[in-house]
Amino acid sequence: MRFRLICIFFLFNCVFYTCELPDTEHPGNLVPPTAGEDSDLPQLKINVAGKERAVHLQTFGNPENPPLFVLPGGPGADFRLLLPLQIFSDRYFVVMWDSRGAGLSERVTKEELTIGSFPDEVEAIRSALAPGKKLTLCGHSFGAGVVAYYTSKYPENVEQLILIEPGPLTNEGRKNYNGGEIGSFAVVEDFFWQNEILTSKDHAAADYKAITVLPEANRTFSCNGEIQEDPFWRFGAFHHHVLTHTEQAPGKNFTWGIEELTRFNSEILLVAGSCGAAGAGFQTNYNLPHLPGTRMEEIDGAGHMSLFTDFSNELIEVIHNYLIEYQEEQ
Amino acid sequence: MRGVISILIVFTPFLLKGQPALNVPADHRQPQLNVSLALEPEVVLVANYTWGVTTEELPVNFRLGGGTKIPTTLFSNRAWRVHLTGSADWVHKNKLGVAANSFVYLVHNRNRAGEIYGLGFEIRANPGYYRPNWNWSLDLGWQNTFASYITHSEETRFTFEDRYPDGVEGIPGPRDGWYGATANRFRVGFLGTRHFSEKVSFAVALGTLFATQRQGLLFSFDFAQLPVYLETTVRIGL
Repeated sequence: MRFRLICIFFLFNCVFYTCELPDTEHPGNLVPPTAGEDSDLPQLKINVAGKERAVHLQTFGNPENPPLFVLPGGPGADFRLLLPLQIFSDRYFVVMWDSRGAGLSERVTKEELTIGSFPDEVEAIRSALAPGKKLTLCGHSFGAGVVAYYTSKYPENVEQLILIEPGPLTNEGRKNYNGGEIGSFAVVEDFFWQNEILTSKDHAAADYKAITVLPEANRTFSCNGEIQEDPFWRFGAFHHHVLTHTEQAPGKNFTWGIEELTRFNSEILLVAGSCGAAGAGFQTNYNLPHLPGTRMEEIDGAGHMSLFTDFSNELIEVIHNYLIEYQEEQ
Repeated sequence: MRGVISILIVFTPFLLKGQPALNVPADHRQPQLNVSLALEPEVVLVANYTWGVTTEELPVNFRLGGGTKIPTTLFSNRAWRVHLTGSADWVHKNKLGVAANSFVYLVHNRNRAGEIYGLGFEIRANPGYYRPNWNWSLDLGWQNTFASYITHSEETRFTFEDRYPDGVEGIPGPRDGWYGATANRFRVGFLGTRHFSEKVSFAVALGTLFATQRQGLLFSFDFAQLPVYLETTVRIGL
């Protein structure tokens, strides 16, 4: 009897102790805190979809220079991979940010993440940092869709447009696209087994789990199925979920406004590596035919992520040439 | 909530001297081996060895034992769970009854994000209709990993680097150490059992296995949820 009482006392203490243990959702425990949780992060508050939100945003160069806005992909990714493009700050005022709910930006509700809100987000940042100025826009993957969509809605606000391996822009492309698929049985098994120990109470735990699956998903974007280096701070799992698994995801008839891009009079640059699901082959077959006035530059040996890592010099040279040619024409 | 958890944790080891939930062998003290192959939705193999501790006079059958649960990533990720188990079952003369299983476990996993050890408990209850040769019941469960020790990988540490402008210290991380209440999930399904003899029975359970979160129940891969499970169990009296 005495032994049982000691056990009960011991177990009570253990239980109360575990109730006081730190929470996995506390900012900085599992994943870096967002701009809404960490005022030291470079950020900007914008009002989109009726809510004021803090987006993680960094600027490079003189604000008096022409603005160059750079958008990451995902949906859900941050701009860490795209940092090599800050090199254009010698001639441009380069602005990079993570979309609301993605990367290190403040997390948002499902209602705020409509496709229509993304051009509004670009416009809000333009109003705050480059009011009245025409933009040079550069987007990667999902971000390329967003900048194309913005250009279709506000062609008069755009000076130049750079699309780096956009995802499928039409339904036909969507049906023939396998980017981001996870082919490893072991990774899928591990992903679900984690629920024995860690379930997604809120954003932090869900975003944390992306660390295990993103490298595997990126295999589809490489030459030989190898894992590509993909530096990132934090992936917005809920952002990704809403824009890929719910009725708010771009539907099969959604085309990012590419029919309206004829209103944009300048040449568009499309850059693609020769490898992977979103490479030059895919772009030639499914996106380029729907983008009149677009020149494609292919970087041999590059994949979706390695364009910014192993092949960043080649990427910068291609973009640099496009920017310079345009400036000389003017 | 703390009170409920406390009572469950403290009294579970004492209450769950039990009987396997799914059948009632002729000899209550007969050792049993239960082997389950399940999709949760990951493929897992569960093996439990129990022995009866009930005297013939009691209306409730109790069994105690231990076991393991292993996924296919046992060797690649050193993923495993070991547990102590206890069960109890009781059937009224009108054939309505309830069986309950409980587990207190230590679970481990290691992947790109880091290494985690978790301590938790799981309770499953099967209220239903129990006949000598077969039974149908609900399969209700609650699993809570109440304390976990996390050691982050270099890959996770890298996600914290280069976030701030020069000279800003900011919030450090990630934090290695103990965390409370890291996993919480529920099971709702149906269970059917066929007893082929006094020593052998076969059971199938099917239902939903889900975790709740602030954004609602998001049934998608992004949140590691495909909220279904299918479990087949063979029970052998030894």
